[in-house]
Amino acid sequence: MNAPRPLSLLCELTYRCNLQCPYCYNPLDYHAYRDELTEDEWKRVVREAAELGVVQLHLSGGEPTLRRDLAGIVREASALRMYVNLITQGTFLDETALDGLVDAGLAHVQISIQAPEEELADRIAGTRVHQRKLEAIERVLQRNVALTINCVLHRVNHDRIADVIAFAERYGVRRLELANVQFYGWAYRNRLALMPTRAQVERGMQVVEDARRRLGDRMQITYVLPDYFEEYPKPCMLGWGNAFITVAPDGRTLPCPAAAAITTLPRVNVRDVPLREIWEDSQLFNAYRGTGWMPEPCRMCDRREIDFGGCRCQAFLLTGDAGATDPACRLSPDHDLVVAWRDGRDVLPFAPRIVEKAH
Amino acid sequence: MIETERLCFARGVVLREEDEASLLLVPEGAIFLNGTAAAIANLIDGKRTFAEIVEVLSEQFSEERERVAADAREFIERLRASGVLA
Repeated sequence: MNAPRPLSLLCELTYRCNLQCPYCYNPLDYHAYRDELTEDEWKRVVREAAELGVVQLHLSGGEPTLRRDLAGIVREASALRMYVNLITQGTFLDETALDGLVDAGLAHVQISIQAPEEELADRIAGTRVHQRKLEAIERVLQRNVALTINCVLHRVNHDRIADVIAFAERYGVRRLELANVQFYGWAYRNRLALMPTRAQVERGMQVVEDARRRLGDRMQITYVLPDYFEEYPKPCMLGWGNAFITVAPDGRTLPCPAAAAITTLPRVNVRDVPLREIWEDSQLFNAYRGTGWMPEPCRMCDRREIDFGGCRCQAFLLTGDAGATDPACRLSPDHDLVVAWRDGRDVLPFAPRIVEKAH
Repeated sequence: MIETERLCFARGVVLREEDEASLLLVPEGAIFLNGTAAAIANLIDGKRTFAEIVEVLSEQFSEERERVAADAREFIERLRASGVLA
Protein backbone atom coordinates (compact mmCIF):
# COMPACT_ATOMS: atom_id res chain seq x y z
CA MET A 1 0.00 0.00 0.00
CA ASN A 2 1.04 3.62 -0.43
CA ALA A 3 2.94 5.00 2.50
CA PRO A 4 1.69 8.33 3.93
CA ARG A 5 4.05 11.21 4.68
CA PRO A 6 5.90 10.73 7.96
CA LEU A 7 5.98 13.88 10.08
CA SER A 8 8.00 12.92 13.09
CA LEU A 9 11.31 11.20 13.75
CA LEU A 10 12.33 10.06 17.22
CA CYS A 11 16.06 9.44 17.56
CA GLU A 12 16.88 7.53 20.71
CA LEU A 13 20.51 8.59 20.72
CA THR A 14 21.61 6.31 23.54
CA TYR A 15 20.00 4.09 26.15
CA ARG A 16 22.63 5.11 28.71
CA CYS A 17 21.21 6.98 31.68
CA ASN A 18 22.28 7.83 35.22
CA LEU A 19 18.73 7.49 36.54
CA GLN A 20 17.00 4.25 37.47
CA CYS A 21 13.33 5.11 37.02
CA PRO A 22 11.22 1.98 37.42
CA TYR A 23 8.80 3.18 34.70
CA CYS A 24 11.40 3.57 31.96
CA TYR A 25 10.04 2.31 28.63
CA ASN A 26 13.50 1.40 27.33
CA PRO A 27 13.94 -2.29 26.54
CA LEU A 28 15.11 -4.54 29.36
CA ASP A 29 18.03 -5.67 27.24
CA TYR A 30 19.21 -2.11 26.56
CA HIS A 31 22.81 -3.27 26.97
CA ALA A 32 22.41 -4.88 23.55
CA TYR A 33 22.23 -1.38 21.99
CA ARG A 34 25.73 -0.26 22.93
CA ASP A 35 26.91 0.00 19.35
CA GLU A 36 25.45 3.49 18.92
CA LEU A 37 25.23 5.32 15.61
CA THR A 38 27.98 7.90 15.12
CA GLU A 39 27.29 11.62 14.76
CA ASP A 40 27.65 11.32 10.97
CA GLU A 41 25.25 8.39 10.87
CA TRP A 42 22.65 10.30 12.90
CA LYS A 43 23.04 13.28 10.58
CA ARG A 44 22.42 11.03 7.60
CA VAL A 45 19.28 9.64 9.26
CA VAL A 46 18.08 13.19 9.86
CA ARG A 47 18.69 14.18 6.23
CA GLU A 48 16.91 11.09 4.94
CA ALA A 49 13.96 11.85 7.20
CA ALA A 50 13.79 15.46 5.98
CA GLU A 51 13.66 14.16 2.41
CA LEU A 52 10.68 12.01 3.36
CA GLY A 53 8.86 15.10 4.66
CA VAL A 54 9.55 14.79 8.38
CA VAL A 55 9.16 18.19 10.07
CA GLN A 56 9.85 17.32 13.66
CA LEU A 57 12.83 15.71 15.35
CA HIS A 58 12.60 14.40 18.89
CA LEU A 59 15.92 13.61 20.55
CA SER A 60 15.57 11.20 23.40
CA GLY A 61 17.15 8.17 25.01
CA GLY A 62 18.18 7.01 27.63
CA GLU A 63 19.59 10.40 28.33
CA PRO A 64 20.41 12.16 25.03
CA THR A 65 22.69 14.79 26.59
CA LEU A 66 25.17 12.02 27.36
CA ARG A 67 26.03 12.22 23.67
CA ARG A 68 28.80 14.79 23.32
CA ASP A 69 27.88 15.30 19.66
CA LEU A 70 24.29 16.28 20.44
CA ALA A 71 24.61 19.92 19.34
CA GLY A 72 25.94 18.84 15.94
CA ILE A 73 22.87 16.70 15.35
CA VAL A 74 20.59 19.56 16.45
CA ARG A 75 22.36 21.94 14.06
CA GLU A 76 21.98 19.56 11.12
CA ALA A 77 18.24 19.23 11.73
CA SER A 78 17.67 22.97 12.27
CA ALA A 79 19.44 23.72 9.01
CA LEU A 80 16.84 21.47 7.35
CA ARG A 81 14.07 23.57 8.99
CA MET A 82 13.13 20.75 11.32
CA TYR A 83 11.56 21.53 14.69
CA VAL A 84 13.98 20.07 17.21
CA ASN A 85 12.72 18.86 20.57
CA LEU A 86 15.02 17.58 23.31
CA ILE A 87 13.55 15.11 25.78
CA THR A 88 15.83 15.04 28.79
CA GLN A 89 15.93 14.49 32.52
CA GLY A 90 18.09 17.60 32.68
CA THR A 91 20.87 16.53 35.00
CA PHE A 92 23.63 17.41 32.50
CA LEU A 93 22.15 20.66 31.17
CA ASP A 94 24.80 23.00 32.48
CA GLU A 95 25.32 26.51 31.05
CA THR A 96 27.72 25.40 28.33
CA ALA A 97 25.69 22.44 27.16
CA LEU A 98 22.47 24.42 27.07
CA ASP A 99 23.99 27.41 25.28
CA GLY A 100 25.46 25.09 22.67
CA LEU A 101 22.10 23.50 22.01
CA VAL A 102 20.18 26.77 21.85
CA ASP A 103 22.80 28.18 19.51
CA ALA A 104 22.39 25.10 17.33
CA GLY A 105 18.70 25.88 16.92
CA LEU A 106 16.90 23.84 19.57
CA ALA A 107 13.21 24.83 19.63
CA HIS A 108 11.92 23.05 22.71
CA VAL A 109 13.12 21.21 25.79
CA GLN A 110 11.12 18.75 27.83
CA ILE A 111 12.52 18.16 31.30
CA SER A 112 11.11 15.36 33.39
CA ILE A 113 10.75 15.42 37.13
CA GLN A 114 9.88 12.33 39.16
CA ALA A 115 7.91 14.11 41.87
CA PRO A 116 7.38 17.68 43.17
CA GLU A 117 9.82 17.33 46.07
CA GLU A 118 13.31 16.08 46.49
CA GLU A 119 12.95 13.12 48.80
CA LEU A 120 10.29 11.34 46.79
CA ALA A 121 11.74 12.38 43.43
CA ASP A 122 15.16 10.98 44.28
CA ARG A 123 13.65 7.80 45.66
CA ILE A 124 11.84 7.20 42.36
CA ALA A 125 14.89 8.14 40.26
CA GLY A 126 17.03 5.87 42.44
CA THR A 127 19.68 8.56 42.78
CA ARG A 128 20.14 12.15 44.01
CA VAL A 129 19.32 14.30 41.01
CA HIS A 130 16.27 16.43 41.80
CA GLN A 131 18.24 19.51 42.81
CA ARG A 132 20.20 19.45 39.55
CA LYS A 133 16.96 19.25 37.61
CA LEU A 134 15.68 22.39 39.34
CA GLU A 135 18.82 24.23 38.28
CA ALA A 136 18.35 23.03 34.70
CA ILE A 137 14.74 24.20 34.68
CA GLU A 138 15.82 27.67 35.80
CA ARG A 139 18.50 27.79 33.16
CA VAL A 140 16.11 26.84 30.37
CA LEU A 141 13.59 29.46 31.51
CA GLN A 142 16.24 32.14 31.10
CA ARG A 143 16.84 31.29 27.46
CA ASN A 144 14.96 31.69 24.23
CA VAL A 145 13.69 28.13 24.03
CA ALA A 146 10.32 26.66 24.96
CA LEU A 147 10.00 24.39 27.98
CA THR A 148 7.62 21.66 29.04
CA ILE A 149 7.83 20.02 32.44
CA ASN A 150 6.88 16.37 32.32
CA CYS A 151 6.03 14.12 35.22
CA VAL A 152 5.25 10.46 34.68
CA LEU A 153 2.45 9.42 37.01
CA HIS A 154 2.05 6.07 38.70
CA ARG A 155 0.78 4.65 41.95
CA VAL A 156 3.66 6.05 44.02
CA ASN A 157 3.29 9.73 42.98
CA HIS A 158 -0.25 9.90 41.61
CA ASP A 159 -1.64 11.56 44.73
CA ARG A 160 0.82 14.43 44.30
CA ILE A 161 -0.63 15.92 41.11
CA ALA A 162 -1.75 19.13 42.83
CA ASP A 163 1.82 19.61 44.11
CA VAL A 164 3.27 19.00 40.66
CA ILE A 165 0.97 21.68 39.25
CA ALA A 166 1.97 24.06 42.07
CA PHE A 167 5.61 23.29 41.29
CA ALA A 168 5.15 24.23 37.63
CA GLU A 169 3.24 27.35 38.65
CA ARG A 170 6.04 28.46 40.97
CA TYR A 171 8.47 28.36 38.06
CA GLY A 172 6.04 30.09 35.71
CA VAL A 173 6.15 27.13 33.35
CA ARG A 174 3.67 27.46 30.48
CA ARG A 175 3.39 23.77 29.63
CA LEU A 176 2.99 20.81 31.92
CA GLU A 177 2.58 17.21 30.86
CA LEU A 178 1.18 14.77 33.39
CA ALA A 179 1.55 11.46 31.65
CA ASN A 180 0.31 8.29 33.22
CA VAL A 181 2.85 5.53 32.92
CA GLN A 182 2.58 3.35 29.83
CA PHE A 183 3.44 -0.25 30.37
CA TYR A 184 6.42 -1.08 28.18
CA GLY A 185 9.99 -2.08 28.94
CA TRP A 186 10.82 -1.60 32.62
CA ALA A 187 7.35 -0.24 33.29
CA TYR A 188 5.81 -3.47 32.05
CA ARG A 189 8.10 -5.41 34.32
CA ASN A 190 7.08 -3.18 37.24
CA ARG A 191 3.41 -3.00 36.33
CA LEU A 192 2.15 -4.36 39.64
CA ALA A 193 4.03 -1.65 41.49
CA LEU A 194 3.05 1.17 39.14
CA MET A 195 -0.59 0.69 38.20
CA PRO A 196 -2.56 3.51 39.80
CA THR A 197 -5.86 2.74 41.47
CA ARG A 198 -9.15 3.86 39.95
CA ALA A 199 -9.66 6.19 42.92
CA GLN A 200 -6.28 7.82 42.23
CA VAL A 201 -7.09 8.31 38.57
CA GLU A 202 -10.50 9.82 39.30
CA ARG A 203 -9.07 12.20 41.90
CA GLY A 204 -6.32 13.12 39.46
CA MET A 205 -8.82 14.05 36.75
CA GLN A 206 -10.64 16.30 39.19
CA VAL A 207 -7.47 18.02 40.36
CA VAL A 208 -6.41 18.66 36.75
CA GLU A 209 -9.87 19.95 35.83
CA ASP A 210 -9.85 22.41 38.75
CA ALA A 211 -6.33 23.59 37.92
CA ARG A 212 -7.20 24.15 34.25
CA ARG A 213 -10.17 26.25 35.24
CA ARG A 214 -8.10 28.27 37.67
CA LEU A 215 -5.07 28.76 35.42
CA GLY A 216 -6.84 29.37 32.10
CA ASP A 217 -4.33 29.92 29.30
CA ARG A 218 -1.50 30.68 31.72
CA MET A 219 -0.56 26.99 31.68
CA GLN A 220 -1.35 24.21 29.25
CA ILE A 221 -1.81 21.00 31.21
CA THR A 222 -1.84 17.75 29.33
CA TYR A 223 -3.15 14.89 31.39
CA VAL A 224 -2.67 11.57 29.67
CA LEU A 225 -5.09 9.03 31.09
CA PRO A 226 -3.99 5.46 31.51
CA ASP A 227 -5.78 3.64 28.69
CA TYR A 228 -6.63 0.81 31.07
CA PHE A 229 -9.18 3.09 32.67
CA GLU A 230 -10.84 4.17 29.44
CA GLU A 231 -13.36 2.44 27.24
CA TYR A 232 -11.32 2.52 24.07
CA PRO A 233 -7.61 2.22 23.38
CA LYS A 234 -5.32 5.14 22.64
CA PRO A 235 -4.74 5.99 18.97
CA CYS A 236 -1.21 4.72 19.33
CA MET A 237 1.28 6.65 17.14
CA LEU A 238 -1.78 7.77 15.10
CA GLY A 239 -1.53 4.37 13.47
CA TRP A 240 1.37 2.06 12.71
CA GLY A 241 3.62 3.46 9.99
CA ASN A 242 1.35 6.47 9.57
CA ALA A 243 3.30 9.46 10.88
CA PHE A 244 6.11 8.33 13.19
CA ILE A 245 9.52 6.76 12.83
CA THR A 246 11.75 5.72 15.73
CA VAL A 247 15.43 4.92 15.42
CA ALA A 248 17.01 3.10 18.37
CA PRO A 249 20.62 3.86 19.45
CA ASP A 250 22.09 1.14 17.23
CA GLY A 251 20.11 2.17 14.14
CA ARG A 252 17.32 -0.34 14.51
CA THR A 253 14.30 1.37 13.00
CA LEU A 254 10.80 0.94 14.38
CA PRO A 255 7.28 2.33 13.96
CA CYS A 256 7.21 3.21 17.67
CA PRO A 257 9.68 3.32 20.55
CA ALA A 258 8.19 0.26 22.26
CA ALA A 259 7.97 -1.98 19.21
CA ALA A 260 11.28 -3.74 19.85
CA ALA A 261 9.27 -5.79 22.34
CA ILE A 262 7.37 -7.41 19.47
CA THR A 263 9.68 -10.32 18.83
CA THR A 264 7.64 -11.75 15.94
CA LEU A 265 8.51 -8.92 13.54
CA PRO A 266 11.53 -8.71 11.24
CA ARG A 267 14.35 -6.36 12.25
CA VAL A 268 15.51 -3.59 9.99
CA ASN A 269 18.40 -1.20 10.54
CA VAL A 270 19.00 2.20 8.99
CA ARG A 271 22.68 1.32 8.85
CA ASP A 272 21.84 -1.26 6.20
CA VAL A 273 18.77 0.11 4.45
CA PRO A 274 17.90 3.68 3.40
CA LEU A 275 15.16 5.25 5.51
CA ARG A 276 12.85 5.75 2.52
CA GLU A 277 12.97 2.07 1.72
CA ILE A 278 12.30 1.16 5.35
CA TRP A 279 9.37 3.58 5.54
CA GLU A 280 7.77 2.69 2.21
CA ASP A 281 8.61 -0.93 1.53
CA SER A 282 9.71 -2.76 4.66
CA GLN A 283 7.65 -5.65 5.91
CA LEU A 284 7.97 -4.15 9.38
CA PHE A 285 6.38 -0.77 8.58
CA ASN A 286 3.71 -2.35 6.38
CA ALA A 287 2.75 -5.05 8.88
CA TYR A 288 -0.04 -3.05 10.54
CA ARG A 289 -0.29 -0.03 8.28
CA GLY A 290 -3.80 1.14 7.41
CA THR A 291 -6.83 -0.96 8.29
CA GLY A 292 -6.44 -4.04 6.07
CA TRP A 293 -4.64 -6.09 8.74
CA MET A 294 -7.38 -5.66 11.32
CA PRO A 295 -9.16 -8.57 12.96
CA GLU A 296 -12.69 -8.46 14.32
CA PRO A 297 -13.98 -6.49 16.16
CA CYS A 298 -11.78 -3.69 14.72
CA ARG A 299 -12.47 -4.55 11.07
CA MET A 300 -16.08 -3.37 11.12
CA CYS A 301 -15.72 -0.89 13.98
CA ASP A 302 -16.72 2.75 13.48
CA ARG A 303 -13.65 3.72 15.46
CA ARG A 304 -11.09 1.93 13.28
CA GLU A 305 -9.86 5.24 11.81
CA ILE A 306 -10.01 6.93 15.22
CA ASP A 307 -7.88 4.63 17.35
CA PHE A 308 -6.38 2.39 14.64
CA GLY A 309 -6.92 -0.76 16.69
CA GLY A 310 -4.93 0.68 19.59
CA CYS A 311 -1.39 -0.33 20.44
CA ARG A 312 0.32 -3.26 18.71
CA CYS A 313 2.93 -3.56 21.45
CA GLN A 314 0.31 -3.80 24.17
CA ALA A 315 -1.59 -6.39 22.12
CA PHE A 316 1.59 -8.44 21.81
CA LEU A 317 2.67 -8.11 25.43
CA LEU A 318 -0.72 -9.21 26.73
CA THR A 319 -1.92 -11.74 24.14
CA GLY A 320 1.23 -12.82 22.29
CA ASP A 321 -0.33 -11.63 19.02
CA ALA A 322 0.68 -8.17 17.78
CA GLY A 323 -2.20 -8.30 15.28
CA ALA A 324 -4.90 -8.65 17.94
CA THR A 325 -7.24 -5.86 19.00
CA ASP A 326 -5.62 -3.92 21.83
CA PRO A 327 -6.95 -5.55 25.03
CA ALA A 328 -7.38 -2.06 26.51
CA CYS A 329 -10.47 -1.78 24.28
CA ARG A 330 -13.65 -2.91 26.00
CA LEU A 331 -14.67 -4.63 22.74
CA SER A 332 -11.53 -6.80 22.68
CA PRO A 333 -12.09 -10.51 23.34
CA ASP A 334 -9.04 -10.27 25.63
CA HIS A 335 -10.28 -7.30 27.63
CA ASP A 336 -10.57 -9.44 30.77
CA LEU A 337 -6.74 -9.55 30.88
CA VAL A 338 -6.69 -5.80 31.36
CA VAL A 339 -9.54 -5.85 33.86
CA ALA A 340 -7.83 -8.50 35.98
CA TRP A 341 -4.57 -6.60 35.99
CA ARG A 342 -6.14 -3.16 36.49
CA ASP A 343 -8.46 -4.20 39.30
CA GLY A 344 -6.12 -6.75 40.85
CA ARG A 345 -5.02 -6.36 44.42
CA ASP A 346 -1.44 -7.46 43.88
CA VAL A 347 0.91 -4.63 44.64
CA LEU A 348 4.64 -5.14 44.53
CA PRO A 349 7.47 -2.76 45.42
CA PHE A 350 9.14 -1.49 42.26
CA ALA A 351 12.48 -2.69 41.02
CA PRO A 352 14.70 0.10 39.72
CA ARG A 353 16.03 0.01 36.20
CA ILE A 354 19.51 -1.42 36.54
CA VAL A 355 22.26 1.06 35.82
CA GLU A 356 24.90 -0.08 33.42
CA LYS A 357 28.25 -0.63 35.12
CA ALA A 358 31.26 1.22 33.80
CA HIS A 359 33.72 -0.95 31.91
CA MET B 1 -10.46 39.20 23.06
CA ILE B 2 -8.97 42.66 23.18
CA GLU B 3 -8.77 43.90 19.61
CA THR B 4 -5.90 46.29 20.25
CA GLU B 5 -3.61 43.63 21.72
CA ARG B 6 -0.63 42.68 19.56
CA LEU B 7 -0.73 39.01 18.61
CA CYS B 8 2.36 36.91 18.97
CA PHE B 9 3.11 33.19 18.82
CA ALA B 10 4.22 31.59 22.06
CA ARG B 11 7.84 30.56 22.45
CA GLY B 12 8.33 27.22 20.75
CA VAL B 13 5.77 27.77 17.99
CA VAL B 14 7.08 27.89 14.44
CA LEU B 15 5.18 28.57 11.23
CA ARG B 16 6.51 26.41 8.43
CA GLU B 17 5.50 27.11 4.86
CA GLU B 18 5.96 24.55 2.15
CA ASP B 19 5.01 24.56 -1.53
CA GLU B 20 1.72 22.83 -0.92
CA ALA B 21 1.05 23.23 2.79
CA SER B 22 1.45 25.48 5.79
CA LEU B 23 2.02 23.99 9.20
CA LEU B 24 2.31 25.29 12.71
CA LEU B 25 4.99 23.33 14.50
CA VAL B 26 4.42 23.07 18.21
CA PRO B 27 6.22 21.01 20.85
CA GLU B 28 3.97 17.98 20.57
CA GLY B 29 3.30 17.96 16.86
CA ALA B 30 2.24 19.76 13.72
CA ILE B 31 -1.03 21.52 12.91
CA PHE B 32 -1.87 21.70 9.20
CA LEU B 33 -3.45 25.02 8.24
CA ASN B 34 -5.98 25.66 5.49
CA GLY B 35 -5.62 28.70 3.23
CA THR B 36 -7.40 31.19 5.45
CA ALA B 37 -5.70 29.94 8.61
CA ALA B 38 -2.32 30.18 6.90
CA ALA B 39 -3.07 33.75 5.81
CA ILE B 40 -3.91 34.68 9.40
CA ALA B 41 -0.90 32.86 10.84
CA ASN B 42 1.32 34.75 8.42
CA LEU B 43 0.14 38.04 9.85
CA ILE B 44 0.80 37.12 13.48
CA ASP B 45 4.16 38.78 13.97
CA GLY B 46 4.16 40.31 17.43
CA LYS B 47 3.42 43.76 15.95
CA ARG B 48 -0.02 43.59 14.39
CA THR B 49 -3.16 43.74 16.50
CA PHE B 50 -6.26 41.67 15.80
CA ALA B 51 -7.94 44.68 14.21
CA GLU B 52 -4.98 45.26 11.92
CA ILE B 53 -4.86 41.61 10.90
CA VAL B 54 -8.54 41.72 10.00
CA GLU B 55 -7.94 44.89 7.99
CA VAL B 56 -5.20 43.26 5.91
CA LEU B 57 -7.22 40.09 5.38
CA SER B 58 -10.33 41.89 4.29
CA GLU B 59 -8.31 43.70 1.62
CA GLN B 60 -6.45 40.55 0.64
CA PHE B 61 -9.66 38.53 0.14
CA SER B 62 -11.93 41.47 -0.82
CA GLU B 63 -14.35 40.47 1.90
CA GLU B 64 -16.38 42.45 4.37
CA ARG B 65 -14.55 43.31 7.52
CA GLU B 66 -17.21 41.80 9.83
CA ARG B 67 -17.17 38.49 8.05
CA VAL B 68 -13.40 38.25 8.09
CA ALA B 69 -13.36 39.25 11.74
CA ALA B 70 -15.75 36.45 12.71
CA ASP B 71 -13.63 33.78 11.01
CA ALA B 72 -10.37 35.18 12.32
CA ARG B 73 -11.70 35.50 15.85
CA GLU B 74 -12.72 31.85 15.93
CA PHE B 75 -9.33 30.68 14.66
CA ILE B 76 -7.36 32.92 17.01
CA GLU B 77 -9.40 31.87 20.00
CA ARG B 78 -8.70 28.25 19.16
CA LEU B 79 -4.99 29.02 18.93
CA ARG B 80 -5.10 30.79 22.26
CA ALA B 81 -6.93 27.92 23.95
CA SER B 82 -4.28 25.47 22.78
CA GLY B 83 -1.42 27.62 24.06
CA VAL B 84 -0.10 28.55 20.62
CA LEU B 85 -0.25 32.28 21.30
CA ALA B 86 1.93 34.14 23.79
